Amino acid sequence: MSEKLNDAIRASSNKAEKGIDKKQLEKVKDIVNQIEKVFSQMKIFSFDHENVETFIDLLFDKISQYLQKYWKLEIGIEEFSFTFKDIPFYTERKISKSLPYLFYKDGLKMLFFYKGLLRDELKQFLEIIKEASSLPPEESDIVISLWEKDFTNIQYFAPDDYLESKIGIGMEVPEYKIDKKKLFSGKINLKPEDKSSLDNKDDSSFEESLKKTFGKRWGTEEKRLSESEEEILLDMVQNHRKESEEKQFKTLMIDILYLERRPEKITSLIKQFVRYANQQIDKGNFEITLSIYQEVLELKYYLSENDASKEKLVQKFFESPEIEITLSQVEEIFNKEHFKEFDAFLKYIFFMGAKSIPALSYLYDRLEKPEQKDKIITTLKQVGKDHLSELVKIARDERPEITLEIIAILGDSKEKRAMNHLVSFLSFRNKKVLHAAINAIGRFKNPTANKILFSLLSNEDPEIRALAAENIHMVEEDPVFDKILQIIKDKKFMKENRKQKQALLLSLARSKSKEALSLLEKIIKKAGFFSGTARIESALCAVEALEKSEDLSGYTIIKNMTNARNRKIRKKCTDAAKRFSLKKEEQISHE
Amino acid sequence: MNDSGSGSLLIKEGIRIVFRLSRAYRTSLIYEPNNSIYLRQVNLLHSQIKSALNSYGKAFLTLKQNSMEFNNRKLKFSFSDYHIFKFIQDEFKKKEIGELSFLPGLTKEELNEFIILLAKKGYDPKDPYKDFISETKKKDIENVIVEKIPFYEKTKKKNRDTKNLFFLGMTHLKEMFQQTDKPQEHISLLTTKRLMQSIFNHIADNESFIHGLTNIKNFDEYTLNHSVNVCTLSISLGKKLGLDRNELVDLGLAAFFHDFGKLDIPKTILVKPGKLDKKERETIEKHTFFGAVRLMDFKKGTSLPIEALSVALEHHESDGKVGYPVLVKKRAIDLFSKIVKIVDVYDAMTTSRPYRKKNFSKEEALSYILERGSKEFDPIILKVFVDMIGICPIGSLVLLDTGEVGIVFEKHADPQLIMRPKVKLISDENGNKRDGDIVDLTEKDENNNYKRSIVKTLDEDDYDIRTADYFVAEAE
Repeated sequence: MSEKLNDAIRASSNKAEKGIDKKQLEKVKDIVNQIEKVFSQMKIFSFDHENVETFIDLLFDKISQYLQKYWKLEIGIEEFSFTFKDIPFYTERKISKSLPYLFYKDGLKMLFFYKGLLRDELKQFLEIIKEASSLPPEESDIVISLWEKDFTNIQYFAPDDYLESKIGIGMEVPEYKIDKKKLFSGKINLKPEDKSSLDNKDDSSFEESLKKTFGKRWGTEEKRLSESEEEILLDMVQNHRKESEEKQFKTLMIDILYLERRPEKITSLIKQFVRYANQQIDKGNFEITLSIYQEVLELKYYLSENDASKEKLVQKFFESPEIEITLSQVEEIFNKEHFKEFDAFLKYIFFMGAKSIPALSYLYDRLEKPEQKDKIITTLKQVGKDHLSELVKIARDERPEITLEIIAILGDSKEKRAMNHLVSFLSFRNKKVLHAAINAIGRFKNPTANKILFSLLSNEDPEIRALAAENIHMVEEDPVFDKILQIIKDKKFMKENRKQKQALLLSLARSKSKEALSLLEKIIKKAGFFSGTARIESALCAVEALEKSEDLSGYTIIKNMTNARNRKIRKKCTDAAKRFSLKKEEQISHE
Repeated sequence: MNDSGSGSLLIKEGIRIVFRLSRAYRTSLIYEPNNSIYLRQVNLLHSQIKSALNSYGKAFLTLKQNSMEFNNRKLKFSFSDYHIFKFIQDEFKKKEIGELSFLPGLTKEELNEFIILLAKKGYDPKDPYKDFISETKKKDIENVIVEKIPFYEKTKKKNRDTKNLFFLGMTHLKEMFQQTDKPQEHISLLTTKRLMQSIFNHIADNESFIHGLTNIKNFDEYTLNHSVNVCTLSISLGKKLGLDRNELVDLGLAAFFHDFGKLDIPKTILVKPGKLDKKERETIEKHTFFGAVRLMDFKKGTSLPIEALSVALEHHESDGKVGYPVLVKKRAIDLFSKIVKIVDVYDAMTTSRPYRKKNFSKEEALSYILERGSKEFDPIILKVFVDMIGICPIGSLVLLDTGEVGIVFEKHADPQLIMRPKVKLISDENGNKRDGDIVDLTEKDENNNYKRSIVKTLDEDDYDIRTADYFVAEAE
């Protein structure tokens, strides 16, 4: 600012100041200087910074003291100056630094602070200033912000002249012309029917004429809302407030996409929609992203029956590489918890189909709540059943928990490929995994499964051998049956562990073939009074196998052996026979 | 002197005083000054004022441009209390009262006298304040200080500002229409938003007059004029439905742009005289879709509310029941669309259009809308709308039982007196046109009979009278 100008302002101030309370003016100056200090601090530090808070405290104290005495603080605004009772007392001509200009540019003429001003109001007011100063002048409007805040104790005066200076620049604006002379001179000659109404008027004339116009509707007008209607109205307004902008935007996009017929516009809308969906992901708003996908998909299905060429254009939404999120993105979102609702995030991942499997696996390892883990498994089951090989890729020896779940999914699968995938688990070292894989293979109950299990009978681990044997289920024309017969007939069989013996003999008993039953009977009978432990153990296992097979022929064998010479076998057979007959009786009574 | 008090207590106290003042005032209109019911209301008001004086040392009510303050604190009225504020505001304005200060020495008797004077009618319309003050002096009322309304509250200036704003709205929409055809230009909504805030302010402060201006039809271009009318009436309706000020600005923006899609409709169809054929009708019906598409582009980088898109798309639709466009799924339409839909139909029907031979009067339009009722409109919003417009809408040309012709300028705040609005007289009993006063049809003569009553509404076209011009004249 030039010295000359400074002098001029000072001179004008001195002259005008004579008529006002100098002490009061000094206080106003002090307050404005403090506002300037806060403003400078706000430019350097974040709004919640201790320094800024301290300066706001000081400012609040100064204003409060002033208002305690004078009730109202009134600051006039000129282009580069603040005024008090029309006297400029603060001037800053550098636009980038000028607080008065910041207000002036938006047409603000006066600011009023009232007694009762709250610190929070003051802080919000300062926030508005900060925001306005951080934006280019054409992108902010302090008056709009002040209006929106509607402060109780901070008011302003910003006349509409500002709008006149902004609207219609360079335009030819037609003028609404009235001819006042014509309006207020001349005569109104009533039409005969109107004159007649006047001549025949009575107290109810107007009502009668309205009744004529409204006809049946007369009486339905001019009614105040009932209490229940007021409640419905309130609900309507509240529901409107609850409706999210994102949801509304999505609904409108779908409607517009549905109504649009121009291919180039559809393509552009799809791109816009993809961008919008991505913005929602960036905001962690997976619920909306998910519903966008679902509704575009529904629209696509609808179009597949009604408009194939448009369907192809809509399909581009799903083909866009931008709509997929990578595993690293999932990791980042999860680690930063950048989602509004975890369930929606999970469902969104699920929506990616097979591509979601690594992400789900990643999440499974990190989640702690059983219900969340269950959700992942449910999702994996749904996604994985059509993408088994993708599913197997995420199984690891060192991740037994999810690997076991994958085995369960494979075991439930009806697909042939599932068994091939299960075989890959037989090389895992983790016993739980290995066992689960054997059990899952066993559930297939077919020659292929038996063949795999049979190969495990020579496994060096007796537990594996036993489990494999347990899972062998005899099926017709299965060559494995003969092989098992051979194993059992072999003398080495007697030396096998009890579990394996039980399993193999059970698979034999389950086959219910004559040859198998005869062999089992033979094993039992061979155990005599002086037989060795291994033979007696084999005979006991044979009794157990027959009992478990729940077959009448097996029962006959057991019953016949209740007189066996060996006490252990005799007792085993007697107990088994009793249980068998008890079961039979129960079955009959049920029937 | 005690502290003025901060926070909600003071505001509650102020609202209670306004409420009590309104009750005492209304009761004085019905009962004699010594009636116990009336005196009870005066006592209650007196206690309320005393309580405020004890707490804050001061008790003064100030009428501001759009609001009322108590002890310099702006009072916020809820939807259900709003009519009380409006009533007191109107009564203050009638007598050009800007502020009432109650002093500690105020007695019940003095307050009683003051209320009777306040409720009294027939003050000199040229200077009601002066007349009123001289009456208070005669009664030695010393403990109620009455300040005159500040200069900027003067009706003429206010009306001029409102009128300027109304036409600015049209100019602004025109420039927006021109701007959207230049996609390279950055569009900022700041001015539009500011305009909406100003419209809100004028509605809060000068609602009747701005409603009167909505009688201006087909000025410059139909769509521009219609859009500003719909915007203005929608904000008013939204206000009555209980929307807050920021929502009302959004509603105003949505209504302002509701016909944006007409830019994509050939002008030959828009202004075609006579009935449209099927193809032309289909084309014109696409304006809702085109509007939504345009606004979707427009929304990027601006603070255009999402409801603007909904309104553009849905303002001819009714929850999937009737109307257009037919959407992919039946769904409830947005609250703002329901509001704009009613106002849109009303304003369109009361505007002469090239494809229609006969124009609808305001009552006929209301009657038609009521007939369509809940089939096409939300019944509750419709009810509030009909209540807002009234069976005797602002701008109606009316024949009075005195033989005078007038124009309805202001509805009566009391729903019981809906057929007794304030009327600007434009002719004497012999039909001689004149720049008459604005008279209150609730005024009674010495025999307790109404001085004037409406006989019937007159058709503007029959008398070649554009009632809107009289509102514009009031602002010049």
